Amino acid sequence: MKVLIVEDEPELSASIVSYLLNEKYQCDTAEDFMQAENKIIDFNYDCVIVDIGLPGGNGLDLIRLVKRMKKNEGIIVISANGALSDKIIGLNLGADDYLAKPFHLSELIARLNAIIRRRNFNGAEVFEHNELRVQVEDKLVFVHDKAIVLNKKELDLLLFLITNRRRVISKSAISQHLSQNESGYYRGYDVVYAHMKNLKRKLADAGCRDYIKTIYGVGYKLDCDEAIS
Amino acid sequence: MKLLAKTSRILLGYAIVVLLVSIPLFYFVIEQLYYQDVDDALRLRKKELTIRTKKLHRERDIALWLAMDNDVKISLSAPPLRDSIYPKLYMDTLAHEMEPYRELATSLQVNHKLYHATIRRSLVESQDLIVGIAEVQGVLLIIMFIGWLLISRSISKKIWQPFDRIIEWLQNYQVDKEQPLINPVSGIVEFDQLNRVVNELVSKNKKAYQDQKNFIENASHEMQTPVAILQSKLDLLIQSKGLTAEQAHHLQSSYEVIERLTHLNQSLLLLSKIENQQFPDLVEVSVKATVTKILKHLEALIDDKPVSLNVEHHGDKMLHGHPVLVEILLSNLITNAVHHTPANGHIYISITDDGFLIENSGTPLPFDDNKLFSRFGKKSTNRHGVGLGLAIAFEISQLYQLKLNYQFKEHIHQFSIRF
Repeated sequence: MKVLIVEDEPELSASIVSYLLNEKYQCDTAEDFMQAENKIIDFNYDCVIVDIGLPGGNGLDLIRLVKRMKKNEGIIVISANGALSDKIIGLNLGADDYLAKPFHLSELIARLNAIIRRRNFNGAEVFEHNELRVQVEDKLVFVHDKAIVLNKKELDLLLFLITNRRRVISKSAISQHLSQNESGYYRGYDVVYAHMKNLKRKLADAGCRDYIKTIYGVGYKLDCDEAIS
Repeated sequence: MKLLAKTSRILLGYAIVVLLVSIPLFYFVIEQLYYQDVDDALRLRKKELTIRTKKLHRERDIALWLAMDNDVKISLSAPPLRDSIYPKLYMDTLAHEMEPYRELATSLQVNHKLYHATIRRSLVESQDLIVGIAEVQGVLLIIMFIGWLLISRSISKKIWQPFDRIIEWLQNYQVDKEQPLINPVSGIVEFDQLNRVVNELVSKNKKAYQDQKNFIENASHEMQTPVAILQSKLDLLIQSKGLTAEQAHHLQSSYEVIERLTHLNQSLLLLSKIENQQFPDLVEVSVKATVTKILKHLEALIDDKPVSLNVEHHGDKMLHGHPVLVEILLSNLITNAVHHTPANGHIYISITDDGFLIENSGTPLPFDDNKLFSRFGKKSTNRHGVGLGLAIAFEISQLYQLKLNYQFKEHIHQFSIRF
């Protein structure tokens, strides 16, 4: 999987690259409009991550370029401007997703995975680890081949853990992920604790071992190394 | 007291004093003038008598002549008299009352004899005249004064019109709304000057406000990218192998700080957007549906705390507004309640056709009630909030002309919105 990261802040760009490496992703970066334009024309990517405010041009024009060339890249917009109207403009131009800065890298990879999944796997992606099996796109969770019922938030949480399974996810990232698309201005980790507790209980009740490790109160990690089959 | 009433009152007092003084003064002056006239007439009469009596030679003629004129009396006298004029009262034999006269006492030489003569003249007519004139004068003064009052009143109304316009304009002036400046031409120098000064002040004020708002927007905006870098670095740092508990603790603190910063930025941006009215797409939003949605999101939290929740629907209201803002308004109130309810406390929500009400148990506010809705008005003891949630709720309710109120009684915090 090849990803192009168009971001003029080298530090942020480097962080994204660093986070995406050791994954199924190969990364390429562009720091200004011209570079990005050339790379989009010359190469094929699975997904392009575009910042809106770029030296030499507007990231929105890169989306137009991709669409004009009828290329098949997925597009994620990252912008400091979280305004709803900008979000709508970006999505209307054909972007697949929109992330307002600052975002967590775990959230970016979750969105990236979702786009790749939609484009490449046709919903057939399955996560399997010992007794636990998750049909990602169907939103079905099995323990010992028996379906268990999770509510939307718990499922969301489990999928988020699975997406970032090789890494530690901060509580702060989980909290933001769970409250995305909701204008709820509730901050704090109580929601995270509540959902995490319920998820763990439901998995344990069905006879699943506890794969979710707490990392010193700073975050969580799904402790397994099975690849997606 | 109105300016016009104040000036009128002072002038009225002055006019009354002038009136009271002028009527007797006038009377006195006319009286003096008249007396002079009468006295001149008396002296003339004396001259006439002197000339005429020269022709009289006999005592009998004098007596006869004198009998003809009631107003002249002559008697023999030894020493010559100097002329003197004085007022005197005489009995009117017809009317049987005392009447005022002016009398001239003098000496007359008739037939080498010295007579003492008194010549008098009635003042009855003059007195009536003087009173009459004084009355007319008084009435004229009063009419003039009333006329002046009415005219000044009607003129004042017209003259003060530009002033009233400025006041009205200033009353309706809001620094965050776009409004045309007041028309600076009234034709009256003072008001034009006032207009100009007000316009200058307002423009300066507006510019300061605009600059401040731009600053907040730009600052909030520009901060997003550095914060994003910082957050991404932490996301990488947290992956470190062999992370110690102490390092993790520092990491967690940093995450929290970044979160607060992010939340602060978002809230400030949201506030300035609400103030800029950047949420123009108005639709009908159901209060009931929005509340249900919010509660669903908070379900786990409410169950976990634990807090008992009681929701009553006695109707619904379709609010004409932006769905995001309506949701923020309601969710800020609800999450605020959830947050501040102690464990095992209770929350009560009621939705009716004309209002939304949320109550939660708790201890009294540790700060003044009226700081509740102000920005950063209260010292937040809560690490996750930045104290802007209620300010945002208040701003949204203002925008949609809803009445958001708070009261605390019997250990119950109550927020109500009247639609």
